[in-house]
Amino acid sequence: MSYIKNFYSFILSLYHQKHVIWQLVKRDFQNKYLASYIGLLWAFIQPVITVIVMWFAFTYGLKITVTAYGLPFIPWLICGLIPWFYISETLTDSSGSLIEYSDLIAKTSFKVSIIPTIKIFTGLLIHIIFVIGLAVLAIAYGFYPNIYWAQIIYLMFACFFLLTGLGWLISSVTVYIRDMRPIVSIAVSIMFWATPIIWPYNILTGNLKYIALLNPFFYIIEGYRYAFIGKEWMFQNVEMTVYFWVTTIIIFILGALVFKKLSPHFADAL
Amino acid sequence: MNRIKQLFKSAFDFFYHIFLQRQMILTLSRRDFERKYIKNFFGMIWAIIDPFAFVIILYVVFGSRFGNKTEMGVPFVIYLLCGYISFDLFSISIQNLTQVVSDHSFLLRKVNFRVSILPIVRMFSNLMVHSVILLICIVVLLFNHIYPSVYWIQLLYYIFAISVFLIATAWFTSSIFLFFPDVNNVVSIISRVLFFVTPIFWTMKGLPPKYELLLKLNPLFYIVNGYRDSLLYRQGFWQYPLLTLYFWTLCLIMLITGIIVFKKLRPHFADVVD
Repeated sequence: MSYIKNFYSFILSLYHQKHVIWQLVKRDFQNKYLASYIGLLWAFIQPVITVIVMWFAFTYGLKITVTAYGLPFIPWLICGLIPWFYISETLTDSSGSLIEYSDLIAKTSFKVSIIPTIKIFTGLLIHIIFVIGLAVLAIAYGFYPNIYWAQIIYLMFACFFLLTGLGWLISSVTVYIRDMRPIVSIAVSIMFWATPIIWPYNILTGNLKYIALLNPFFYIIEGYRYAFIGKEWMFQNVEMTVYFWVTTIIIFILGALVFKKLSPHFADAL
Repeated sequence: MNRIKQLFKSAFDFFYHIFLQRQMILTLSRRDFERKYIKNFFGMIWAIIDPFAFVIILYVVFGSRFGNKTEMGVPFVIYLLCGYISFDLFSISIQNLTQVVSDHSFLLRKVNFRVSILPIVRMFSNLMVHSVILLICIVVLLFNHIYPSVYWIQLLYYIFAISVFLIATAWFTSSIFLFFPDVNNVVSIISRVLFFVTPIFWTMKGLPPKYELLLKLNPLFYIVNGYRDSLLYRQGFWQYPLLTLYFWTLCLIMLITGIIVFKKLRPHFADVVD
């Protein structure tokens, strides 16, 4: 019961501190993208180049044009990559967030638990632009806007919860174990290749199917595909939806617990 | 004419000084290797397991695409492995060679220390790890009934070639890195692009000719193909005279650019790091 109360008070505190959060997100955005010469440009160039070279390797190298579901490969691929870019970037960024904002931790009136969420919002600003780009691409491929597109909002919301839980967990551990950062980026790249993001889920047969479950974000990535090109509701997959929310709630509670346990000592460790 | 003469003289000087420091290079390489891998056991294990784990993943994911041997003459996983280990050497080296000068910033103020040897030092330490990976790869080949041939010796040529290319690039990137840390991102995206445009997990068969030529402009193509030719297909590098000429011309251009940029920026190194 107390979890629900804690959870409720966390959401409430996000709402109450919306001005502070907005200021912090703005500052974070400036530091990350506007500080160097090519910062903001870079945020777009990097994903676009990655998409282009992957497109080349898959269509000409591997000669894949249609996925097993009968969907054209390129929009299918990009629908998976766009959310993954956001997720992987946010995970690696939030891992170092407490160290980066150590000056805020000493302030007594400041709620430390919102620091990892700043990174989620900063990334979201760029992500939304990419989602718009994705919508344009979908239309170019003949997938016109329909009611299913609305579930993107649900998916972003779901993604926010999962990222918040993981962000608390990773960032608080990173304060004590500084090697966490490279470990997170290794884990992210393993997830990218080892779970169905750029390759279709139905490559896995039999018991191998459970590999997809190793990546809790698989649900969100599939969701983007359902929304833009699949014309299906994500909740129609009851099993996957239940699995996702159970995992997310466990991670959220675990993250909150670890963060709460460790946060009184942050100031000393930093 | 005089300028060219001067350029040659200064390049010769550059290499001569490096040659004079060969003892120093060996000592530093051993130290770099010990610091990075022996003392950090996890780092060592990871550096060795990583390429093999990645090859296995690629095999599981794309293996179904190449179930039949006819396209490449050997099992897909072997094709993948022999190509990927050379890319692994490239991608690890290009990243850590870029940072090598800034990692050794404490040496920059020492007057009689030649900073230019640092990329060579790091390259040697990377090659030590690479040789362990190569050894494991050879064991895998033997288990798959691919037996040693005289062409395996040719690997030394390709390792030398990629090392020259990487060191030349590193003189350029590692000195710029001190002034623009963004270079790091550029290098990492280039390495990611090269992973996809080099035939590592796919084959050149059936590619439109206009792309084929374009792909061969990528210097890594020469190396990845060379590894496979040496280990699997028993082809010599002299069978591709044009590609060989192109690769070494590119190396020469990189070397000249690298040396010029490095020499120009060297006097300012100590000002930007402290």
